[in-house]
Amino acid sequence: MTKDEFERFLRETLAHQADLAPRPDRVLAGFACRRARPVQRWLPLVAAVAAVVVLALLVTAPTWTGSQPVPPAHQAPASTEVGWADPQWLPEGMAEVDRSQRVDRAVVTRVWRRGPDSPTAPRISLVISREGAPNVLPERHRTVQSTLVDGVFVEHITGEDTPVEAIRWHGSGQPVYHLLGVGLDKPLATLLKVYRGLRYGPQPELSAASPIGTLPDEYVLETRGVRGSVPDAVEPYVVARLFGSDALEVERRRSPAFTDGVELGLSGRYRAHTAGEHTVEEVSLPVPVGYVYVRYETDLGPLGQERLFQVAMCAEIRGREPRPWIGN
Amino acid sequence: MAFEEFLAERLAPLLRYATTLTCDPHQAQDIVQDVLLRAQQRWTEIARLDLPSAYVKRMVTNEFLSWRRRRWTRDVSVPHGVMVDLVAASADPTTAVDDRAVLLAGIARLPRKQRAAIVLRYYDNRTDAEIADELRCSEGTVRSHISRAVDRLRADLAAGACREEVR
Repeated sequence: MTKDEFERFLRETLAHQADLAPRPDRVLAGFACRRARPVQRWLPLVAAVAAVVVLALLVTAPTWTGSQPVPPAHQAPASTEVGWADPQWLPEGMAEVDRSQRVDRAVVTRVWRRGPDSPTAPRISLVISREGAPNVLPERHRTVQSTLVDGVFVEHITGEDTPVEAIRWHGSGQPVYHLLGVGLDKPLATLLKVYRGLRYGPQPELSAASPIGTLPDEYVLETRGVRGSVPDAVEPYVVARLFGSDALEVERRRSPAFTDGVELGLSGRYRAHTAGEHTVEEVSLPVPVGYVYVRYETDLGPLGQERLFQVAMCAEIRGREPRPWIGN
Repeated sequence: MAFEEFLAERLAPLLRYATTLTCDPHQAQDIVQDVLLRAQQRWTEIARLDLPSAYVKRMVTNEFLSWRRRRWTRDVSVPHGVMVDLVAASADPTTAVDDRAVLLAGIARLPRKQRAAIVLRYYDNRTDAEIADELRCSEGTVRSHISRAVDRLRADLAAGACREEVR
């Protein structure tokens, strides 16, 4: 092959490789979700990852049962659903404090914590997602070891500059499981013990405040939102985050989120302010079970109090699930 | 140009470019999403530039060069011979497709700057000067990158041909 022939072949090959590029609509969906993803104050810690020196664990925890940790094939979720998992064992004192699912059921997040919320509180997170879901691991991380556990290839990952360790494995139907730990005693052993006690099943539909009725056309609620139940002893609420070209959040609260601003009908209130280049609009509306709080953030133009009030009026409030969801 | 217009017009070419850089559609998607998040936050400044698309494309290149350092744990290194065997074994029976698979595997193994130089030259049709500007190095370094990469890829192709003859 002459140089010219090789260069022509190289050009053709690169063009062929470019044809394998992901579809723009898929990328746009992921982009919209990541852009509007709320920042949790503990995320930097949980975003770092814990991990498991699996071999060491097998040696140090020989009493674990040989339960099958991966959901059997017949339980593999169809379409985008990634399924659900319940731990049968958790460290002493840990209780579930957060659970959420993306509306298309392609991502599930559950968090267990011991003690009051703080960046250093011992915490375990389980994230079930599909490939291409928002990144779960911290930006700087490394794989310490990968090995087979009960026939499943498990990676032990640790954050390089964050006190988080994690294990990651693939299940049937290709969901990816991440177990993340922060502030755990013997983190690798703990995470692996949780992993081996997981029981898999179909994904339930979580309670949430979900707007129904007429909404702006640009919101594709079925595929990009996140809904979850977030119990908190002080301020329980449910939340639905619905992403279109801008971020719209709907929450149910026990008390009003604010009392200033402009008074609307039905004793509701509206206010707007700027945050950097963004405009933030909020509506708080009393309902029989508390308050509906709607927050809309945009860098384009405000939605307006009438339209946002309409969203709040359309919010369907369902009861919260009983808690705690899980005991030790 | 609004950001949404930019996306509608330039997202597909950006994804194609990122895919040739990374040799992996999933990594390409991650990189492009990371870049778009940052670009969207600064869009008022970027939109004022003469060529916003060129700027964002450079962001993709830079993200690729730094991204692989940060997220190296995602890469699975496969020994050279094993990779060629794997690719050849699953390739199309025609020689041209076999060669293409071997070449793609070779490109995926190139050091990232050599790979970026090859993509910019043979996919994006850039000159040495433009590539040097993009990669922030001298034109001589660009020529060196391309020369070494081409030599290596031709050697890979030759090795692939030898393997076929042995079979």
